[in-house]
Amino acid sequence: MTAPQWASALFGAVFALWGLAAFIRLRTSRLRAVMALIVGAFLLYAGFRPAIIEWMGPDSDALRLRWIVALLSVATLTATLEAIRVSRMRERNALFWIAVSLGLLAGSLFPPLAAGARRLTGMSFEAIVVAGLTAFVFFLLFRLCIEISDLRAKLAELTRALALAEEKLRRLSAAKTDGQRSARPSDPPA
Amino acid sequence: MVLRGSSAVILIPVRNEEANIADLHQEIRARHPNLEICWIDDGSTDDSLREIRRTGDRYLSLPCNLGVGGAMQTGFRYALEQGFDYALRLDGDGQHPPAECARLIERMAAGDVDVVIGSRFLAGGYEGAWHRSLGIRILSWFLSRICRRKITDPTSGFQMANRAAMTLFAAQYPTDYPEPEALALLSRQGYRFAEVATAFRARRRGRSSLQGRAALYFAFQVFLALFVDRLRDVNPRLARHRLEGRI
Repeated sequence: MTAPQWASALFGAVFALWGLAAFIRLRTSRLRAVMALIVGAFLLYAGFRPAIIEWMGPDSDALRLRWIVALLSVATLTATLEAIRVSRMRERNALFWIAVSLGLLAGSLFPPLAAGARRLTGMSFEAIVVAGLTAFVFFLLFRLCIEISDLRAKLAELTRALALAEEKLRRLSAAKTDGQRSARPSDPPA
Repeated sequence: MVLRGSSAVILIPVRNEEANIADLHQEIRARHPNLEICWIDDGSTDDSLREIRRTGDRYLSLPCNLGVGGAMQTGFRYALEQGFDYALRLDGDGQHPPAECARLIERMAAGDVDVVIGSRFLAGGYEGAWHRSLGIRILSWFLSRICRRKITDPTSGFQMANRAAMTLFAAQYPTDYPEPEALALLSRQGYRFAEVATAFRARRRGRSSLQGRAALYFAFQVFLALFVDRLRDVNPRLARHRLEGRI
């Protein structure tokens, strides 16, 4: 076995065992456990079946980068699905993360896709990943800025409505107090 | 023009001006005893709100700081809801002498404008910090080109608005540093405004929020907003000729 095979098998075994243990004991969420189990099993299988690694291409920096990107994509995908599950992220906001994670995962696992992207852009796989991530971060920041502006406008609207409602309440309370005072008989009934 | 108490309200946006409130209240009451005063506390962190309550005037308390624009928009909504025909705006730092309100009221009485603005530069003789005066001059020149009329004091908050202008401002009012952008908005929507010469005085106590980095941000924000304003279309729902028939 070569060094990458050993590394793949070792990491795969750790991932798979942790995922299995977590799934059985329910110490963490089942979703996360299942994802870890799948990744672990795949890495373990890849360790003992060099054909998979050969299918991915000869050992090189680009191949290692593809593995790292694939793992990061799976981690991001898992975290996103988990965030939706526990209602910390809305589906509308998660859509972008899921699309990017799946795109990166597909590009890193399937060499024809990576080759196609290389031909299309004329850049190396490393450059495509860096440019893609940069574009992702910029787009995300842009979207966040818009969301923040939108939320600030909504907050301002709520603040204004609250201030006006409070003033109206004060006015009504004062009128009620005045009304009670004037309605109170000056002399007790005989 | 004699304003009845039920026809006009004095709106005063305030943020951390506890030291100026009592004096300003007394001064306004001495000059305009029959006008309603409405303070708008813009999320003060000092005792401004307590001082306002002591005056016995109406007040709006904003739980979050919205900036002068947000505070004024709340004030205009209040004025509309309460059925006022006019709203006068004075700054809470005491820079706008209540005695000078008469000039704005007199100009509004002519009936040919929707907003009257008190200008400290129209009569000349106002001495301010040189960098601030230079900035205001550049802004005046720029805004005059946009509005196609001479504007001498684009940052003046000493204003009086009629019901039509209040309706516009209640629906749409610039945030942060709103005065120059509000003039561009008025011009774009077909409203009429005029400046009158008024005296300003130095703030009595406390510090202006427009210093150092805030002044630079102000310049950047205002010029960007005015530039973008040129790219906007007229909002037909709030155009003056449309509102005229409804008010």
